[in-house]
Amino acid sequence: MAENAALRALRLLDLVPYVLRNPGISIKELADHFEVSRDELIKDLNLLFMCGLPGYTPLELIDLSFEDGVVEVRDPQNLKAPRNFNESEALALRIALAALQEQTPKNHPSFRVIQSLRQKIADSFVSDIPPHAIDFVADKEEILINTIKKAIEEEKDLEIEYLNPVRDSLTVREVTPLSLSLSRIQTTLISYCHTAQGERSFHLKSMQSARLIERQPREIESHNESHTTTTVQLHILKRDTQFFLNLQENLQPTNSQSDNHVYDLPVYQPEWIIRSTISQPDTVIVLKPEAFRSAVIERCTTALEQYAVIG
Amino acid sequence: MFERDKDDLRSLGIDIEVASHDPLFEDEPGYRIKPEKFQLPIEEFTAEELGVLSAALGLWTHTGLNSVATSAIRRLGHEYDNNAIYDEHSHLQILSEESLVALSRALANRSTVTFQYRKSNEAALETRRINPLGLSAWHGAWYVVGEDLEREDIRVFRTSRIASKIEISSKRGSYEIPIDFDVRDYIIMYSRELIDVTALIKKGSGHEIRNRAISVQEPENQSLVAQWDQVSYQSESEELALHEALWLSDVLVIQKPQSLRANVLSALQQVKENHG
Repeated sequence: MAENAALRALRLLDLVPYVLRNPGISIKELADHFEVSRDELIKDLNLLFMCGLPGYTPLELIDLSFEDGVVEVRDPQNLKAPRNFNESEALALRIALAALQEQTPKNHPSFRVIQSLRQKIADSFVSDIPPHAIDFVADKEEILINTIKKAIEEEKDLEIEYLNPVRDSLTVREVTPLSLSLSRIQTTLISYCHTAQGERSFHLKSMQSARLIERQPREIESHNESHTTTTVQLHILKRDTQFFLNLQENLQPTNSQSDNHVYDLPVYQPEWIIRSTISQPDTVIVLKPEAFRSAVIERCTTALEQYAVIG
Repeated sequence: MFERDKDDLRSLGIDIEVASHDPLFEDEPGYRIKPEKFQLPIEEFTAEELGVLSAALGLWTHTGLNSVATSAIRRLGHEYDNNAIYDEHSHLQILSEESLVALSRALANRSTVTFQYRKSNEAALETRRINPLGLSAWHGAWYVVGEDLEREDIRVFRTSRIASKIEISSKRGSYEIPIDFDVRDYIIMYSRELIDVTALIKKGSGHEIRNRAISVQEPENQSLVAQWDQVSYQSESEELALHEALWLSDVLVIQKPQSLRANVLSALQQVKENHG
């Protein structure tokens, strides 16, 4: 497509501040940077040589040299700074910054930089597009899936920030991703966790961030860890709940003959069943073991005391 | 200079003024580009900020807006580094959506667009003519909010349901966007009534709540400062807020709203009685 005069004028306006920032750049490098041929670039430089401010005496002309294949600007006149963003560029930048902020963990050093940049861009560039006309809420799970797939493809490890809702803990772990498991309920990363030194699963909905890191040569122990489980007897008060539906496959009726809504459930983390029971008062009651039942009562008693004393 | 060239330059963001600039020939008009409008205030940005700007623009690599972004990156003087920390995000599918090029161009120019649109659960296509007012990305899908010129109302369109090429009117500046326009006012996902919650939260705990907190500060009661923070956050419903408060009942004490606090107390009492 033939270049019009306006596009060439833009390139001329961009050339001067660029050469000023890169004194001694070769004609070839400059041509490559602006994606034009060597001949076109020399035509541009020859034209710039004759441009300047009104008055047009040698003192007002742009002073540049491009002898011996090397370009230098001695006097840029008023073309010291690069050309401002136009509306399309500013819009693309605003969308991209919003997208970047959405994907950057709040504790990442760049998060605050991005946040302040968005404000700076809004303040620096006169735009007819109001600040809240652009909005970006990322599909964080999609971003995590892409990062994990890339790690598996490129045989890299991941540094993940994981929020364990049961233990209420936030940990940073280095893991070797093994596979992604997609179920009806959630997506899970199956991995070898170098921090825990064992195979671990991480739900993506609780993963705050994932970052590719180089895989270090280190031993991965492939022994099968034995997970201790405790069988908990539950009285399910309501069966049309997500709690029941999610656990349906693991709940074993204690008496197959009568429908008494009492089930056995193997539990890996006692804390999980305690929190689940308290957060669903109309759904489930822990019947056995007594220690779990007492833990639920104790947790409720302490919470009620906290409300009475400090609330 | 030809009018067409001046229009081209204006469309590329160069604001040209026509006036007399030669002291010797006052009657002779000339063209002027004001430096304050033309120049990028690059000295106002730190090297780190310029790097982040380049990385942000680099998200458009391999998308329809690549050329727009490349031109801007070139002027920043900080080339986008493919090995930069944000490289893992460079393949964001949502930024590759084809309609985004036309819609962002129309929005930037304030030009009317026309397209064929298929409503949800309907087979027939409708021709829609809109003035785009804003763009919203929501969990992997783009929405354009615009003034529908036939229906004389503001409507929201999911861009994946646009079933034709988007025609952009050549007329620029056809309309203005109100300065207080907020795209979230029109996107249904934001129309839910969020519950504002104030609570005390034990230091070093309640990470999920802290992550989405609007504010975390010292409690007013100084005797609590050593062990507790006061946190403000939002929940999608009173039911969900109750579930969260009970899940974290060992580390969270609801202060407001009163109805939520009362429900938490009642639920804790109920669970205690159920197990007593």
